[in-house]
Amino acid sequence: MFRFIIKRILEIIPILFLVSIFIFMFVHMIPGDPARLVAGVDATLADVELVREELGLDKPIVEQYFTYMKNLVQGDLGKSLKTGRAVSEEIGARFMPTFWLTVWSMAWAVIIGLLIGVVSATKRNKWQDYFGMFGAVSGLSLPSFWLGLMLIQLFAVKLGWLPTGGMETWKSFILPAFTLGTGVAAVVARFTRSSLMDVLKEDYIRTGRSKGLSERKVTWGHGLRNAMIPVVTMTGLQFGFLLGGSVVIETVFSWPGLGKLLIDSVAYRDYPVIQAEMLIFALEFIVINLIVDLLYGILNPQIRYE
Amino acid sequence: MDQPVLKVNNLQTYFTSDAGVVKAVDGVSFEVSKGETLGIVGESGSGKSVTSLSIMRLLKDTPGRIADGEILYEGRDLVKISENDMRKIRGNDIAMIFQEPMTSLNPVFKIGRQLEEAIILHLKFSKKEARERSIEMLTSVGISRPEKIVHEFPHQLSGGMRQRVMIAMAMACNPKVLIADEPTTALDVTIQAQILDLMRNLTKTTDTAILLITHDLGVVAEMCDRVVVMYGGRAVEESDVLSIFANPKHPYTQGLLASIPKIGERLDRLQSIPGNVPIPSRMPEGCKFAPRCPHAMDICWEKEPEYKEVITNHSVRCWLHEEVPQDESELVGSTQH
Repeated sequence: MFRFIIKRILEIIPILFLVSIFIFMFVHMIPGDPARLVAGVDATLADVELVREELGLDKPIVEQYFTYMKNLVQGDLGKSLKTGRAVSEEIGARFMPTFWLTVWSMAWAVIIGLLIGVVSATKRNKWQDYFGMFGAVSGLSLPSFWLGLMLIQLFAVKLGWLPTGGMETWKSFILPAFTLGTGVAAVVARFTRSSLMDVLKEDYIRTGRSKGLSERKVTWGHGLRNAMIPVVTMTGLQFGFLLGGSVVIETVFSWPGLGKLLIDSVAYRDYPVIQAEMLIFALEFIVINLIVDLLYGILNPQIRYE
Repeated sequence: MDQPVLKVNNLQTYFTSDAGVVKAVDGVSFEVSKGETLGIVGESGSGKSVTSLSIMRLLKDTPGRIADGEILYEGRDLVKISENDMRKIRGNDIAMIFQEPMTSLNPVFKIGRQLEEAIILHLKFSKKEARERSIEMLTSVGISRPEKIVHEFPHQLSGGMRQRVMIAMAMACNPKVLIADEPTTALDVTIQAQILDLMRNLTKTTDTAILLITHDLGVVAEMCDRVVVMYGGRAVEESDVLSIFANPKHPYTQGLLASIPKIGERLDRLQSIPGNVPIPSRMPEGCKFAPRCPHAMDICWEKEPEYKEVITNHSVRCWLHEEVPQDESELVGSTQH
C-alpha cells in the first residue's frame, strides 16, 4: 500500500512534465499580443518591442520554454503580466475560495444524489423513482449558468434573502454551491440508482435477506457498499471537473476563485498565470485520481496494490 | 412419528408477467419432521426452487406471490404473518443455503462479520460472543484456522470452503429447519460428498429438519428419508426414499429413475424422458406430464388427477393409480404413443 502510493506520486512527475509542454504550446498559440496589452493602447511600436524584450517574449519559443521550466523547477511560477505580482501569490489567494466552493457543492451533491439514487432503486417504477429521476434529468439538462442567473433573480433580486455574488458570509456560498452541485447530484443519483439496482439482484443480497436482516440493513449495509464502487470513480472525476469547471459559475456569481482568475488572465493573455492555473488543474486531476484509486481499495477488498 | 416442524399445504405461488399469470407452484403439499431429511426432486422449471423461496418468503425481487395455501411452521402460518415476524424466523428458525457459494457471500465484507450478523440479530449476542460463536461454527463445518478465516474475504476462499461458510452461517442460530437449494450442484464431485457428509453430521447432532432441493437422485439416495417428486409446479409423488427407488408409482418418477445409468449395464444411449418440461405459461389442460407420458390415457388429457395416498405413506398424482370410472382393460388399451 505504502509502496503503491510512493510509486503513484513518482509517476506524477513525468506526467506533469508532459502536461507543461502542452500547456506552454497551447498558451502561446492563443492569438493576441501580451506585449501590446502590457504596454498599453497608446504605446508606440518601439515601446511595445521594448516591453516584449523585457518579458522575454522576443526569444524563440523553445528558449522561452526552457527559461520557464528552469524557473518552475525552482518553484518560481513567474510574475503576472497584468499585476506584476508573483503568480504563486495570485493563485494562492484564489485557491481556497474555489476549494471550499467545490467541497460544499460536492458535499451536498453526493449526499442528496445518493439519497435520491437509493430511494429510486428501492422504489423502482413507483412515484418516488419517477420523481427522483425527473429531478435528476432536470438537474442534468439545466445549463448551470442559466440556473445560476435564475436563482440570483429569485433569491437575491426578488426576495433579497441571499447576496447576488461575491464571498462575504456563509450565505454567499448557498447559491453558487447549489448551482455548481446540481449537475453532480443528478449524475450521482442516476449512477447510484442503476448500480444499486444491479447489486440488489445479486445472490448475496438474497443471503442477507435469508438471514433475517431488515430491508434497510440489506440495502444500506450490503447493497450500497457494493454499489458505491463505480459511484466513487465517477464522483472523483466529477470532483476534478468541478474544480476546473467552476469557471462559469464563478463568473456568474463574481466568485473570487481560480475560475474567475482564469477567465481574467486569458482575456489579458497573462501567460504565466494561465500556465500556472492549467498546471494546477492537471495536478488536481492526478491527485483526485490517486485518492479515488485508494478509496477503491478500501471499498473493494479484491483489489490488491502491487 | 413426531409432530411435523414444517408443513406445507396446497401451496400456490403465481408469477404475474405481461403475458399473464404463471402458476410456478400449483398445489404442493408436504411435511417434514424433526431430524428428518426431505428431498424435493424435479427437473429445472418444476417449481422446486420457487417452493423453497416461498417458504422463506423471499419472493420479493421476483414478480411472484403466494396466491394460496398454508406454510405451517410449528403451527403458525407463515403466509399470514407480518414481514417483521417473518424476519425473526428467517435465519433463526428456518435457515437456507443456496446453490451458488461463489456469489452467495458478500464480496466486500469479511467472513466473520457475515457470520456474526445473524448471530447478533437473532441470539442477541455481544460482538465478542458472536465472534466466539462464529469461530465455533467454522470449526464445526471443518474449517481449519477459523480464527484466521474470520478475517478473510470471500474471494480468498475456494468454492467448497465458501459453501462450508454458508452452512456455518445457516446453522449458527440453531435453526429447526434447514432449506438447502441444490447445495452441491456447483461443486466438484469430491467436495460434494464432503459437503453432504457435513450436512448430515451437523443436523444429526442438532436434530434439524432438512429440506433438500435437488435434481440429483444420487444425492437423494444418500441423504433423504422421504422424497417429494415435483413436476410442472405440482407434487406428483411422495414416499419414503426406499419405496420411491424400489417401487416408483408415477411414470415421471419411473422415467427419472430409468435415466440413471447403472454400473455394469452397457447401453448405446442413455435413457431419457422424451420431450421437455412444459413452459409454465403453456401448461397442458389435464395431467401436466401427459404429453411426455408413455402411459397417457384419454382422461389424462382432460382432467388433472388428484394427489392421493394410494398406499400408506405413498402419495401419487396419476390416473393410473386412481379409481378410474372405466373398465380396467380399456385403461391398458388406450395407452398412447
